[in-house]
Amino acid sequence: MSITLGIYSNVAGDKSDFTSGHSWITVTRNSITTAYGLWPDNHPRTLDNGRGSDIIIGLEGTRFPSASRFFKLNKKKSLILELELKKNIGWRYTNTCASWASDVLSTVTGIDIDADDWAGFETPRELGEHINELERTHPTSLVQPKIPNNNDSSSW
Amino acid sequence: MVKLNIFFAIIISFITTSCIADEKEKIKYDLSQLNNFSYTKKDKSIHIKYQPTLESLYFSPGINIHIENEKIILEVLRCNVNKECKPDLKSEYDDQGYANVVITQNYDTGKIFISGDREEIALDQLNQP
Repeated sequence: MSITLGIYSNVAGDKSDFTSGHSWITVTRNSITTAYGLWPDNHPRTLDNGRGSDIIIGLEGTRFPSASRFFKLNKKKSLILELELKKNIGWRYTNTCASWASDVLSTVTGIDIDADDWAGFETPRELGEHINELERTHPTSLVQPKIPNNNDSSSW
Repeated sequence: MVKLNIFFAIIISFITTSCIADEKEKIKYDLSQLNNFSYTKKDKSIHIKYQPTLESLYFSPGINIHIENEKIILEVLRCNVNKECKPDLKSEYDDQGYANVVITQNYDTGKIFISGDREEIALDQLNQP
């Protein structure tokens, strides 16, 4: 099975507010793309599932990103990804949608796209900016994803 | 560990307070943050549909409406998830992520304008059926 991991942010850079926007990932399995994002329980677009995982499936689709980057996964990385998606992860100010998207990418591919903003809080605007920095030099797309090395450690 | 938690609590409290203050002027969406905006007239009502930019900490609860001179001004509200917002016209979300709002007055659509955070545009110009 061919699997491509995408990372997205719908804001990028300091022109956006500190608390604005959203970041998420997509997984494309044999041409079918599914979105995964981390959302706070009290957001009206989600159901408050208490202590259940805040990873929500399918809310974002692929719509309107300001920044996106794609990675082709081998079998081992695909298995790691599926395990990450099954974890019980909670949204917190210290574990935002941007933190989670960045962490999943790092755990699965070894590639760190930094989302650190002011005081170490991770934000969509910072993740978006760093995705775009990488895209400017080495662009990717869903049909032309980057193939991570086994010991890839490129970072921002 | 307890000290670390207290530290985070203080920092978060400061940041959320300052951010909420910072967001005071952002209680309505910029027009660039409203996607696939469209309307249809049905009988004597106007059905508005739009996709606000997805944000983890904000959402659109609906639309405020007021009349200035001959113009009917609509403002698409942007609400912090930790606050309560009461729009004049409440939005209902469908499975595709569209917010749907119904105006029950039979307004002349040529007189309706959408007021964003930075600009104002005629409803007909923003219509993307």
